[in-house]
Amino acid sequence: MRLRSSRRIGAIASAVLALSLLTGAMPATAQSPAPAPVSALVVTTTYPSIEVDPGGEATFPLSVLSPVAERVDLAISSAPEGFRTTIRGGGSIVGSVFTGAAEAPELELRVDVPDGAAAGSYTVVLGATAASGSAELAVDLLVSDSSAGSVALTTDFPALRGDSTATFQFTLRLSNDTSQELTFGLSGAGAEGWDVQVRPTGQEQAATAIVGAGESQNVRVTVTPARFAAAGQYPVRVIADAGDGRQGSADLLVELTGSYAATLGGADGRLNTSVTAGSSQTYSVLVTNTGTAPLTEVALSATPPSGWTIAFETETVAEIPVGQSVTVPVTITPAANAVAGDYVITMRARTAQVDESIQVRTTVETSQTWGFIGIGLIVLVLAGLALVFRRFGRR
Amino acid sequence: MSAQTPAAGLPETGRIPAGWRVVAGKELTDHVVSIRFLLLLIMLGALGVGAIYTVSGSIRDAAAQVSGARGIFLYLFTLNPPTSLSQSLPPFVQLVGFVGPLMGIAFGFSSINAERADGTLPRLLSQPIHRDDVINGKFVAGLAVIALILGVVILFISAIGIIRLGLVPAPDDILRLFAWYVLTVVYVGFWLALATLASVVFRNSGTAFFAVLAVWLILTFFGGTVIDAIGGFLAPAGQGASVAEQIRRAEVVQTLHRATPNRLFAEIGQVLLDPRVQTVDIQGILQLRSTNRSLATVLPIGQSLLIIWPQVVGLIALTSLCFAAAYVTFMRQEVRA
Repeated sequence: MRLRSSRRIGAIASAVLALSLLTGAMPATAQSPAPAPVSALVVTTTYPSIEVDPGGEATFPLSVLSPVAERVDLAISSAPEGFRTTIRGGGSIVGSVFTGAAEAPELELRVDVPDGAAAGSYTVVLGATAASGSAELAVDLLVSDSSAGSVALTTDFPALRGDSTATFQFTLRLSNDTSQELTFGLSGAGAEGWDVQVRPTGQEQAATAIVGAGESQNVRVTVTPARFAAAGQYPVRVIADAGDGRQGSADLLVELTGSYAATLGGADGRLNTSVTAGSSQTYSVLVTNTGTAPLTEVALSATPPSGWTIAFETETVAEIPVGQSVTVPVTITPAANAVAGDYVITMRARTAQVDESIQVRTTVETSQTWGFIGIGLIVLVLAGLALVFRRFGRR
Repeated sequence: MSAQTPAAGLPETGRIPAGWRVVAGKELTDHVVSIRFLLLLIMLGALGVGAIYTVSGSIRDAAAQVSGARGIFLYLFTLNPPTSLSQSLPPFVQLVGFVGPLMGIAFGFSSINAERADGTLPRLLSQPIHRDDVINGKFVAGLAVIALILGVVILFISAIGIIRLGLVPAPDDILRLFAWYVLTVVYVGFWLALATLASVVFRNSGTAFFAVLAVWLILTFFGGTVIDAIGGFLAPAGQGASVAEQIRRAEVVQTLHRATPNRLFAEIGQVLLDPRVQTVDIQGILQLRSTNRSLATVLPIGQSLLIIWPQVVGLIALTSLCFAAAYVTFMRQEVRA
């Protein structure tokens, strides 16, 4: 309030200055308006009613004018209990002032409001007594309720947008408009699994912030979304609590845009398999949704060598929720005339948004039939050789 | 052939077999139990197994590319190993072109002159057989033992190929392999006939051996250089020669090369064991190139045989000529000398 008061005074001063420039008048000061001819003793002030916090103070510039030059005694004739009043002039506490009709000496009435003052309107009456007569000035002090409001948490940008891998930083202003220095406990809460950190700016570890009366401090809120948070809007509530019911809160909003990502791999981690020629082998692929939006219509396909049959048990997976994975068995049948050796099969999972592929090294092994035929041929050759030896080997 | 009487091997009843069959049977017995036979069988077998193993390994590595192609099985015999294995064995076809002549020489260089040196030739001819039955029977026995070795080795390495590749040869592949096998026997038969001729001409078997070996060395290792030089002399194409001159020179050199059995056998192998080869003639290759007919066609075995028929006839003719020379020389020789 003090800050606000001085601002207000400054604004008035500049307004008066502007007015004086327009009119060409040259007033001495703003507090002492240009003396006008008075017919009797008069005590005035510019703003006779001032709002003030408990424990605060109010200052009234006084103007005492008399038709003749004389001494005027000043005294407080009535003041509320506990209110301390002082009359100052020329840097000292004064009890009387010598004044005339032409010029008014600078005087001010200062009222100190006690801490425990209840809210309400208080009147202080100043009495002035001189030879030429007497006068009174009643000023009002409007004491505000110190316990309600006055603590605020505000921000210019309450909503941020990004994907779930981003961290969101809000800058909030914590202002203490009470008349006391307050210690705020800072806390924030978001959706399940979200991390909300509230720190005074420049203090990475501080959990509390001390804000002087009438001052403010910036508070930084760092929001880390949950790992697999789906796209959507997430409210974040930040609370600065100084106790006694004095707390400020701010409602922030994080809007997560969905990101689409998937990984494809072998179900057991291996990207190779082996199959015997002439038979088939089951391999399993694992599709994992690593994005933040559900994957729909995941089409599985493979580019096999010619003559091969690659059959996925499920050609199209309807939906994979965020963070989930689906295992799809795939039956690999090599071509009937496949040469034994290594083949590379490209398997692919694609949706409208993602396209992932893996290369599965498939080793074709000689089928037992051909193996037996080969061995049989060798045995046959050796038998034939033995036969030749038996037939021609004897002398 | 020892001094045993051929009659001892005759069956007691039935038609008396022709003399050359008796001689061939006896000679074959000698060959089969000889160390020579075992050594050659093991040598060719080991080389063949090594070659097949290397080639099948590289086919397995490229399984995805070659799978389903026609005549993969034949690659086992013709494919060059990858360049990174430059120290490894040449393909089986080249091995046979190389080692085959040694087999022919081994079974032929001492066929006649050893009998002569042992003094058993007059006793042999005193049996009731024709004089030419001796050389005929010996030649047939040589051919038979060569065919035996080649057949055993080819079947053996084919079996290894089947196991390694998990692939049985297609009927066309088997026919091609068989045709090539028969012609290989003819090719080795040329060297057998040459060695027999040397054994007829030279009384000392050592001399005969080195004479044939010299021919083999010259044809195998220096033949190319010599023939290139002759070709350059017949159809000069020096620096600045026109394309036509260079083609002419290449053709002359090719024609000269085709006078050698090695070249004929190599071309037969090229065409028979690769169904995609459409020609081995320089003019034909140029024509294919110029008309940009790069489409791969796979020929049936009949077409391949037609392409290579001149070479086949040439090889058979060379072998027949060589044997005829040995035959005539032997018939005119004095037995008791």
